Amino acid sequence: MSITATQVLIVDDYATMRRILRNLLDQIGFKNVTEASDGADALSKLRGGNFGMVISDWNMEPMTGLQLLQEVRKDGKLKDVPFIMVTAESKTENVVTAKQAGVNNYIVKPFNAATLKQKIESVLGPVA
Amino acid sequence: MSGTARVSLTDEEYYDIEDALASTARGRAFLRARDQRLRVVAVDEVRRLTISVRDWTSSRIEKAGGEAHMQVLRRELQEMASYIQKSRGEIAAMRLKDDTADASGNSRIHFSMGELDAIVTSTERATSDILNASERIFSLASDMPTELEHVSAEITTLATDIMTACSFQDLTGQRINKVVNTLRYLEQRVAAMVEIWGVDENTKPTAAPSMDMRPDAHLLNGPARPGEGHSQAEIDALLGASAAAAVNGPEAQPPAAPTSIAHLNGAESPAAPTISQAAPPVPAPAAPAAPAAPKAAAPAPKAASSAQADIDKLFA
Repeated sequence: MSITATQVLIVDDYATMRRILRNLLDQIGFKNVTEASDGADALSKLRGGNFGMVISDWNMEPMTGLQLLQEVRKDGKLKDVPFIMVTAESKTENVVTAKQAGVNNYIVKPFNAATLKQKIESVLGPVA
Repeated sequence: MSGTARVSLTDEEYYDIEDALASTARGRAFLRARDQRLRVVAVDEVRRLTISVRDWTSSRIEKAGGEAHMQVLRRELQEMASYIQKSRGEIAAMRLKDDTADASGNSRIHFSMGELDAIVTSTERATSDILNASERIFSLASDMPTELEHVSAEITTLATDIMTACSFQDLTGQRINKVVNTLRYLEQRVAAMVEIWGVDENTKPTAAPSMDMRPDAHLLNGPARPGEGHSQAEIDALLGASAAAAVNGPEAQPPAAPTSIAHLNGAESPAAPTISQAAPPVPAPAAPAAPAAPKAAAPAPKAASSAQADIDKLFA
């Protein structure tokens, strides 16, 4: 199966950001994209679907991206799902905390299409 | 003895009588007893006088000291009252309902929060418009003939750059939310102070110096919020219906012109849409290529944050 056939879940409380990510993923080749507006919504969709990657914001309510990551890593069925954090939180302690929680990669906002593609490839492998 | 005039003795008569008494044993006993009684009376008198003087002195000292304390206390109370009055004035100034407040008469802080909300809303709308245009460009680029593939690719890349630049809306939104939360906290603290100090409508606010010294500062209120200000059509109508018709054509007649300029500022005037709401966007003439806008900064200060390169090292 092609990597671009992977089902991707975008999690962000800003509709604009979800739209940007969806368009960028579309440009890269990912057509199978689902959106969630916060951690709880994402967790519900993850448990009901078959996602191959999560791209999540951190600062959301009521469940943050970090809480979502922790829940994903605790879940026997979801614990191996690649998880990329895309956030404006750029302090070292944020990055270290996310890394310790099991994040696969970390993108600081604002970012560009090349950075997104590079991080996705570092997690899933080269995109054709 | 009553009714008899008191008789006085000369010194000679006194000593004669004393000598007569001293010549007998009983007379001498009388003289000793008299002397002893006189001594007791004298001692009692001195003791009474001493106590009286002591009490008088103490009372004078106490009275003098008490007055001094009262003066200090009175002065302190006056200063406290002055500070309280100043504080009440400052608090009243913070919640002042003036022409910068919104129609419901909310405080300056509340007004500022409304302005920030308006910024979020307007940037969200602008971003949405830009994204719509970008998506349309993607679509058009993908439909270009194969011989223009290199042009199509470049257009797609540039449209992607435009799209990613739109993430500024997320970042500015987060920053503005922080400021709104801080303002909300301040508003709560001011409300608490108002409660404590009993500031009411009658409290005279402390006059705050104007920060904008321009002569027309009172006319510079910035963009109107929804429901405030006037549409281009209404302004055209104010300035002359014929001129507006000449610009917009007969099919774009402005609404009925307000009867006077006073209508613009009158509280009774109906809420009018803002220019941005009512006026259709005017196509701008082709502009020369502008220098690239600076990238939006990440919320955290550079010194306290990690660059993407630093983060990459952690995941290498």
